[in-house]
Amino acid sequence: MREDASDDEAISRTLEGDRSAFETLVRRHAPAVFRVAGRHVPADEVENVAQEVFLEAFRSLGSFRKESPFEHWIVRIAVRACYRYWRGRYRAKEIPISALSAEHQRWIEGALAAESAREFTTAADRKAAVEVLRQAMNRLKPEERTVLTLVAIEERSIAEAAKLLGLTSVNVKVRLFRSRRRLREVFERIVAGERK
Amino acid sequence: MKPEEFEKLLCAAARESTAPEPSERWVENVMRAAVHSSAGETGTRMQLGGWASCSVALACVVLFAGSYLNQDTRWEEDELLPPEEYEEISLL
Repeated sequence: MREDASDDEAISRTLEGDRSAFETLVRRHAPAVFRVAGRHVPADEVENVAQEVFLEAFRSLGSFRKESPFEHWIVRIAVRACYRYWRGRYRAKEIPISALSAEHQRWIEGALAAESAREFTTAADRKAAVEVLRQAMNRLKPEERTVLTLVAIEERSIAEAAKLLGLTSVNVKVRLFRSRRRLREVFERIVAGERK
Repeated sequence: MKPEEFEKLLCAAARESTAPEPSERWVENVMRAAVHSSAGETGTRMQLGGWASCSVALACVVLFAGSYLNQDTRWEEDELLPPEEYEEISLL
């Protein structure tokens, strides 16, 4: 299969049984799937989730109607796979909800007390921020963290998030509002816990 | 700083963190799993080719997708994705 073959051609060839055509699709679209998974699931789970995405695409390829680009289709599958990942962990109660270290608690309090975010730009601040957000997100429900990740971290529009999740824009706005409120409650609890 | 500014600070940091990239080993694993995941259907189809094997494969994929929908992606009340959306990305 030529590497420059179009997605449509690669899909048709895959459905005809050409293994190399599917490999072309995998190689071409894996970076986009890894980017999505990298934002939604822990780094050590990205490969597993991405593999699940391509296997689902492989099984469902016959249903792809070519009404939108293949990449849009596979990104939708990726977002849903990430959601399912968290839903599975949530149900199995496998999401670690450990207390933040005293260092991170101090960092949160310092940040909230600071005049602006401009004071927190060092690599150490970024590392602390990522860890704090990870811990806080672990306290959210799967749908809350998925919506929040799509809109607040990936910076997708409400309409785009709605399309990816199969929800109306109003539903996404409502879930986003609830997610943000819940996240703030989590931070308030963390800070209040430190003061006790 | 205000809570919304704090949230932006955290999200910006998360955005900047780098995700892993697909490796050659990962691509090989996916291809191996793709063949194995449909052994007897797509695996056979890939070897035989042609319309007859394609029909058999499609029937198997439909059956597989049906069981998949019934198990892992079943819609449950108050969850994110309605069944029609799964249908859109699956075979049924």
